[in-house]
Amino acid sequence: MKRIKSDLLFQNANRVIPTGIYGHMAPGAGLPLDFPHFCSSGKGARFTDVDGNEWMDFMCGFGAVLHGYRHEAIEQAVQKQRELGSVFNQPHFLMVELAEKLVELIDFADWAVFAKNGSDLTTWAIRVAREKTGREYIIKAKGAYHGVDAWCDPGMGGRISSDREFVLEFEWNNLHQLESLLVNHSNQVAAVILTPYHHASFGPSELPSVGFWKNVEMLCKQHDAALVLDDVRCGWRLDDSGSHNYFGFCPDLAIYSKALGNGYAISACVGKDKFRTSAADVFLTGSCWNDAYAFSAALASLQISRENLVAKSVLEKGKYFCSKLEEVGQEYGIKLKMTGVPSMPYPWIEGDEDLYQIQGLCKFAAAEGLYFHPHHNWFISNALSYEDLDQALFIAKKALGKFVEQ
Amino acid sequence: MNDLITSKTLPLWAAARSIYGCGVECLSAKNSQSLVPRILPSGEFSFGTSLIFSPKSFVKVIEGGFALPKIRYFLTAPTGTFRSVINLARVGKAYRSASEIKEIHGMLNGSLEAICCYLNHHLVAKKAFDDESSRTLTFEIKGMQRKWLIKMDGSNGWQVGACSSLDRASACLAFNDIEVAKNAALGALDSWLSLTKAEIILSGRIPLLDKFGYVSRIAQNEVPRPGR
Repeated sequence: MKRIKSDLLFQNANRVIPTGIYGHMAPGAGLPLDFPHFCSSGKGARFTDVDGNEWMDFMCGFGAVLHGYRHEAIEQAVQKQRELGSVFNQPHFLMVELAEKLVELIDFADWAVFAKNGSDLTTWAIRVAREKTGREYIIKAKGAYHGVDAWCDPGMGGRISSDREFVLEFEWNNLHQLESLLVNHSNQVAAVILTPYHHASFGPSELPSVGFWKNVEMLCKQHDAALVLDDVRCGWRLDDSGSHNYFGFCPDLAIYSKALGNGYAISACVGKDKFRTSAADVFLTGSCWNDAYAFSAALASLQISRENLVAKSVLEKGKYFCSKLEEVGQEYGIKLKMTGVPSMPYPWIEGDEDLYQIQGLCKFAAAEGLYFHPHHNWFISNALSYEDLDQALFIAKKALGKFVEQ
Repeated sequence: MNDLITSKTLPLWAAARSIYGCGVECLSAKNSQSLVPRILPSGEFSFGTSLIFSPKSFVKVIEGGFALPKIRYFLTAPTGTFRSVINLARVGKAYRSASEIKEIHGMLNGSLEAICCYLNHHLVAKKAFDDESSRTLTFEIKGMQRKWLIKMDGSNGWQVGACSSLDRASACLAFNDIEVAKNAALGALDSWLSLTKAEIILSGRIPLLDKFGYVSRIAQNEVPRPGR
């Protein structure tokens, strides 16, 4: 893959932006010599980097795009709103329409609020739970990502010892540990915050074991702790009405973002009526949070999801792709297992705890124009057709062959 | 001695270990022994058995200025003290010239020694590496056989040592050539840019290297270096 402009641009970026590119898109977090640093355009399930290379995409802007880049119906809705404006002195009326839509779609939701990123509202939701319960502690799964705030971010800088003083952790699926934490901190736990399944980076995803969610729900009820679902990454990829339906449980509060706006920055928190007063008492605002473009994108995105049963579609496409890719791996003697749910699979090679093999494999895939990430779960775009998936499998087979040869 | 290593003494302790680490690569085994550092209960730093500096004088030594050691040992143990002085000067020369491969290896080894001190004694670094005690890191320069391995060695804590070519660590950092390694040891490398220019190649468990990078930046900010 040609990479000249990308490198030059990175040199410029590094002069004016600390680390050039930060966070999960920083070169060091992926494949610094194989992935492009900067993109220029995208359409459907493909994007083009600044050097003009076209990539078949399996990351969807790290999940922020579900229906494909520049989806026509969403772009039309946003374009229509552009003629009217984005941010005003008062919220645009689309905010109400979107809140009504979410309350209608999500069975347990009685109200909704909006922000821009998942972190904005995961942090706010735990504050709502604290306000409601008058308690301090939060329980989360070890290694789970819930955003960039100091109580949960995966980095190391800028922290003080008190940041995590009231955050407790248990191993995913270990109900005994969870119960012990609740018992040992009786009447002190405000909330248990979890993702629908465990999709930590740098390791295989773990689905909930049988009875896990029902027991979590029961324990939260027993201990009067709020059950907060961080559906930021999974939302609309497992179920068109919230991932809790996919696993059969009912949270008290849930946070969505990523796929909700299909590339337009928006996040939402929905909740049960009993949290309404507490929600009203935890201050919430942001300069551009009442962004009508994002509201219109989200409304269009939700409509597409519902009309086209998109969650079912990406799950089926993912299942097809993952099973075929595992077969290709087997052909070459690579014990590749696509873990997690098929619409957002994490590639794991048995015995590759230190990730050398998956890094090697993804390098060869990148050389063929496949954006397979070695450290993060992938995302299946609904813009990928079965022909696209077959093409990706054909290319992946070639890449695997070269990897094994090496 | 661990009790004497506090957040206040750690930077100079890491500098002392770094000097010794450099000496191990650049000098004969006998000569490098004359640079084994200690912190004394008085808060002074000693090399070998008899070369002793106050913290203030030690900083001057590192920065290349003139500093008087405790004079009484020149009288009571002149040979050992003199050997330490000579070898300290040799390490200083290695840092100033950094032209021979063994000098650059020495600087690199010294840097890794300093970072290990932070892994063992710096509160934030220790906490970051709490869960990593079963993991190892290797450092190598492409085309060279010499490799360094950092691993947890029981009660000795994190230690840097030699690594056989068969060892596969949890994560590996490879410098593309000796010049890059030298710049890294001197703290003159833009690691983010170097990653994209293939000057540094990371592989394996990236979060471990991320943590290591974070600790190395803390050390780089705090540990006095020659000419700084």
